[in-house]
Amino acid sequence: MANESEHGVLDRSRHALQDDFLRAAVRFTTDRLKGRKHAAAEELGDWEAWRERGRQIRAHTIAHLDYYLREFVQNARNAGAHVHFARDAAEAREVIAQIVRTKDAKLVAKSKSMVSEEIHINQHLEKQGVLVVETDLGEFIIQLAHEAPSHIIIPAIHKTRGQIKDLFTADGGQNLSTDTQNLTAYARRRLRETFMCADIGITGCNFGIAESGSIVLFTNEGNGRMVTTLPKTHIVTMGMERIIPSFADLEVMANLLPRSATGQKLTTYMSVITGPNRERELDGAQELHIVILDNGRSRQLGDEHFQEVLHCIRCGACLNVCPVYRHIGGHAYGSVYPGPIGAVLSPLLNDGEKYADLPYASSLCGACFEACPVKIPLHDLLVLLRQRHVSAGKTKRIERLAFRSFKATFAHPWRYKAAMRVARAAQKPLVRDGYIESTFGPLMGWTDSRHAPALAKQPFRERFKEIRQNVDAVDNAGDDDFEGSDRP
Amino acid sequence: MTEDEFFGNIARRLHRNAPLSIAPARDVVGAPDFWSMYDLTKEERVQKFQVELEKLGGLVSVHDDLPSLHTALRELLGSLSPQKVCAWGGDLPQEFGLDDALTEFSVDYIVGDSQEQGTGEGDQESREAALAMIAQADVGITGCDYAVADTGSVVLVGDVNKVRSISLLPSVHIVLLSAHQIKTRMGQVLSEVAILQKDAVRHAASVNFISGPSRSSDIENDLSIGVHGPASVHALILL
Repeated sequence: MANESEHGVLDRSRHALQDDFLRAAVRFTTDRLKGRKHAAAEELGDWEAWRERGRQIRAHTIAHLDYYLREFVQNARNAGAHVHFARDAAEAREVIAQIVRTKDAKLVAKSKSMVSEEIHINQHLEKQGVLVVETDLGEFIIQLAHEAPSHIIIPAIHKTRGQIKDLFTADGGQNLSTDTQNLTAYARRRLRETFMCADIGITGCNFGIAESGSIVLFTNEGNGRMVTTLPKTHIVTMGMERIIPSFADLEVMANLLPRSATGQKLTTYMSVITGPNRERELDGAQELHIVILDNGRSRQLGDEHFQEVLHCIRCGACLNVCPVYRHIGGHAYGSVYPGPIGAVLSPLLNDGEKYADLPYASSLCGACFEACPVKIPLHDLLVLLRQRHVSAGKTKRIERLAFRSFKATFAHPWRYKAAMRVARAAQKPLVRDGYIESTFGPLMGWTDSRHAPALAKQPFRERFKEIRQNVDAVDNAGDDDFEGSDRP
Repeated sequence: MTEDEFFGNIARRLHRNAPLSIAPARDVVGAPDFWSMYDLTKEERVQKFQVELEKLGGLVSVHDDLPSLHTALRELLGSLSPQKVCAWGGDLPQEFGLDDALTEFSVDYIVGDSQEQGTGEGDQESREAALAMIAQADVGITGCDYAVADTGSVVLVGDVNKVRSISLLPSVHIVLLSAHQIKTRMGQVLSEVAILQKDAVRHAASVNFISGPSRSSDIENDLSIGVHGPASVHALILL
């Protein structure tokens, strides 16, 4: 996997491209998820109507987030939950650490949560001597490997069963085979103890319902239910934009999210949790804390272009269709959020240079937009982020110079003609079979991984005169069939 | 950060002087119209529920009367030969006549705390003892509040005598339901849940939509069943 010493998405992706297994695994899963999504979407009838509905609900909620978030908070409190607000990751970590200290907790069981990855809560609690155990099977595997998730839905997508067996054996598993059921059974046994003994459960939150103050979790394994049912205290980490107005809207999200994420009609468990457990209930957390995180999100509100990034429901569909993600995998993005959504979200949530190059990790093909269940125009946002990058003067000097001369040359026909004449002569030593093949020098960045067609011997502008004559001749003959003409 | 600052910031970003305090008008709410009109007959609902749950690996049987359901339940338990069985207490045993039907199996009917919950050690101990008992059970028997034909889901609304762990900790989950509980779409259940949750006294702390056995594809995308929750789910429907 990528390590910290590699700078930038380009370096990290070179590393990923050498890992054949990773690429095969990523492609296998993304294909499978994509295929199943098509089947599941078809069954629902008029997928486009659902997407449009999803977009409308998210757009309305985010445009009125002050109202709906407050409604959510009031109703959650009425149901008995404690609500906390965190401006950034550090504040969120401190709020959670404080709850953990108050409860004198030694063992924390976690269900998968992207926000908890975003605030790096595990490391923070571990420094205080608290044992934090990831209980989602994939997260458990990568926690044993001391790695980060490489996909937002399938975190251990890059691990082989052989590697998993070794990790489980090192963890204390005996006589394990590489059989899936055998490995799963070990995780079940091992984590059962954690669920029963944990002092605190931490989960994320797929949606918060404003009209009831409920949080909703979509899970398949059952660990989300364990973590919210068995420990006495439950802490929810929630991005401030996770809100939907009502239960009626949940039907739309429940039809869009699992189909887009894993191609399922619905995840095995959809759990709606409203406040701590009721009086005399034997199980369910007795204390519920909801930590609402900003961490750069509010900066996107009111922005004419980027507010839309807050519509995201974290399904991962854009990862599965992205040709760049499919080649380089999640770690190469170097951010908690990989893929197209990560390439947009990461530089927006984090000011500064760290993720500034991620918008370039895209071919701008637009497949992400086509796949997005709430129709976020990710490819447009990527271009806008590149534009920001360029206007802020963060590009290389040589690149700026190149584009300045490009602008000057293309602004005048005579300059353009002259430049092309020079280029046609200059390309000669580099052309092989009609393509420019350069393994060194300034063109390499392009030709290394793509075909750069050579300039034509006769420019189009000159050929066009002849073409026009031919077309006119055909038209005059009253012949609709273009096949026979020497159309280029 | 204080709450007022947090909301003040959101309002400012949205170009408002103060957070919005009246509900904004909405053009559209919930599912598209064509979907909201989708409704099956009772027979179709039972059939669709069965097809969908079986696609997920669940097993469904449909029964004309209680004796037939009892026979099937006894056969099922007989084939599993569980060491321990836990079931919801409260109304369930009487509703489905379980006491008489399951005499040959030792079934623990679990009810909530008889006293109001406190922080007293006795309460915690009884809670932990009950959970330990459920954790050791091989089979958990529950009812449900609703079912959804479209997704093959059963819906369990948490309550004192509808202990959540019984549908979660045992390896096998058996759910008993009546055909009239099955709705066509999830939205029909959610609208009833929305009404319940507005009731400050009766609202449920947990509502679980359960669709088949626990599953994961985290190991090389190979589907595995029974990761943390039950590895098999059986639904017995009384017509």
